[in-house]
Amino acid sequence: MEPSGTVTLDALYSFELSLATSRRGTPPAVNDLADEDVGTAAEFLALRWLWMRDHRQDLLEFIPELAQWEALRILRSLMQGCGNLPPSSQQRPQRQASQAGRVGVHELAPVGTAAWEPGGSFLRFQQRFQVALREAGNDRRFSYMLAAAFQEMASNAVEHAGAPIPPIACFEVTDSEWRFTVTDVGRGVLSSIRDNPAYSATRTEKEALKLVVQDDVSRTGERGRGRGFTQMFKALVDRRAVLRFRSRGTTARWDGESPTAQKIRVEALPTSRDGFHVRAVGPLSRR
Amino acid sequence: MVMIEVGAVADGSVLAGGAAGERVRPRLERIVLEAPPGSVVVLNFGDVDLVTSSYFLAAFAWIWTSPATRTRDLFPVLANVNAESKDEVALALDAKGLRALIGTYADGQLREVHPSKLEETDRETYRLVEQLGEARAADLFRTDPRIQPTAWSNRLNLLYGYRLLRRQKRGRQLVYSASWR
Repeated sequence: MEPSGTVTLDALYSFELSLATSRRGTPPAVNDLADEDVGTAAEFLALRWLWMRDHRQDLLEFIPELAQWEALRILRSLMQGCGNLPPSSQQRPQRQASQAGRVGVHELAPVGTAAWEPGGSFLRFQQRFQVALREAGNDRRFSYMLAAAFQEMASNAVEHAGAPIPPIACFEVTDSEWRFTVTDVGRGVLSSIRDNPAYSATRTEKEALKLVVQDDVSRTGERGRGRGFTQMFKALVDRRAVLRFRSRGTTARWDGESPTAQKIRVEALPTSRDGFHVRAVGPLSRR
Repeated sequence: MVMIEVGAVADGSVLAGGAAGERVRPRLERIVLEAPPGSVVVLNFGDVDLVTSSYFLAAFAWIWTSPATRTRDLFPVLANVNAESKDEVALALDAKGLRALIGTYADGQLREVHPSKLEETDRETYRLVEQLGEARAADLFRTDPRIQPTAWSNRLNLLYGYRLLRRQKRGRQLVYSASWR
């Protein structure tokens, strides 16, 4: 069982409210959330489930609300596995049809510190992502480069977010595309990067987001660190991808081939929510 | 020689992120520090598709700097690092001011072992020691008297500090040789 840390109601409700209001300024109906938000919605559900588990709430009262969502399948798998990843006997990812009709592999898991042990649950999770990419026809090099980028993003969340609950990692591989997300409800990049004296004068989340996607910029200032986003860009050289990073009320976006730190567009959002979210989506790439 | 199959110890072929590197370090410490004194410790990356600089720093950099490895006179060699990982490893070594021996390992033997990114004078010193098999500062002075024995001694000591050379005391003299042989 992954340790949940301290799941605070404030952290959960803040995340829920900001997700619900971010698109229109008023809480939308559950079914109206766009596909782009599904990954984030699934992560929100996982956070809610963690809170409910810690507070012994009855999950059944939430089921009607979730019935129309693809995320219901994810929540059910979490309920059945008590938050654990599938048992170790399940070495290969299971392909199945989602409620949205896409055949693929979709997993979501909290990434506590214990998950990083050799043979631990996150490493198995990342390996299943890699296997899924390969089985979908992606070449071997791309599969492991992307898996490394995914792991670097998750490592960032664990090391720098300072959140009361573990970050959530999610991946999906279908017959036409791959995607992964990592979400935390921590302090965001501005607060994090200011720990480095070299960047203590950084004033806005926008400035901070522009900084952290660059090579060698890190909270610790340690040389050789701060290359997680570089790893992502390396994996996506000559590849199409849609990238979205959000830190509190600021987002950085890319849609095209071969993203770089210099070309990513950073803009403010109408609302803010705690933490950092990274989402990468790309078409199946056979070579 | 102590062989460490990195992929097996780390339980994966994609080694990324400082968090994962930190978690594997205790396992590596147990293995490395059980090596007999004076051992060559071969870190075999043959089953690793990619190791990132953040992982390398968290998991491996201590091997070159730890007082425990120096006390035990252990000498690491990086073997079978693929092209993808070489840049990352070089970055990590450079970040810490480290130098490493890099080579291939196959059929029970180390081959093509060479030091990473040395300054020209250090590279030349290493080459001379390899050529002679073993050398004292006085031997190198005889090879090139333009450089005084004290300066040669300093260069040898530097390469020993980098774990590229090993040294023995014979009488009052220090005798150096390539650490991996």
